[in-house]
Amino acid sequence: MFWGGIVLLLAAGVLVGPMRLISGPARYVAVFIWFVLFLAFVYFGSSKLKSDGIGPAVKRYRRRLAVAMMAYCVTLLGSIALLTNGDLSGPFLWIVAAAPAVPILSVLAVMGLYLKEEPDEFERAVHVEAMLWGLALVLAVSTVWGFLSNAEVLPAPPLFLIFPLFCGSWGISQAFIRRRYQ
Amino acid sequence: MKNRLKVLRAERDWSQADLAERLEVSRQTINALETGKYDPSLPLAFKIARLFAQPIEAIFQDEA
Repeated sequence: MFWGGIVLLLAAGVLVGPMRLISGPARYVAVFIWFVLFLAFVYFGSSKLKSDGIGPAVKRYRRRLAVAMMAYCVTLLGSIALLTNGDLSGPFLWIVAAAPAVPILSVLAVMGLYLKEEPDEFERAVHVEAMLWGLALVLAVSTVWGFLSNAEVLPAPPLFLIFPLFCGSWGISQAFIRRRYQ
Repeated sequence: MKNRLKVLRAERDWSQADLAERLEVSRQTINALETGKYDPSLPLAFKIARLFAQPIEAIFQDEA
């Protein structure tokens, strides 16, 4: 049920996002609404998924992550709007172009705070190992892609996608690590 | 590392969730400890020892 919802939402996201089903400013609004819906679903859905009881550290992590992702969505849409409509130059262009990275960097701090605040040492160990797997995947993918683009077999890698790739492989490897301890 | 957690817990008629709550860890952590797949840190081992009022070496057995 939960994973079905995630798949549906991701499909809807692809339709509004990369497929450009809606055009013009309405698309920005649609992307924003989709983002809020997705966050809300993950936030409330995953709380029900784990009947085990979630610790206060995880709750704080989720709240902070939700705030950072909202800030990311707002700065990203603002940055895209300014970059496409205005003709910016000089330091202002740099600031506007790099602005969406700020909330993403804050997610690093949110992750660090979670590891610091999680009182359960086993949970911490699982997350640290999962993060190392995530890091390994990111390094592997970027090294292979880097050589491929050096040889001009592939275009330059979209570096901003490295972070979501890390988060995704962190989440997936967590499930495998937990299975080992059952 | 082998341990007597499951026996000690059963003697007190506690569920994994009960023990988890007393040690302030998740139920999954208790499971990983009981199956011997995860070895606790010294602070957690002392906490367990205090809870069951037994020395650490009476709860955890080093196989070496």
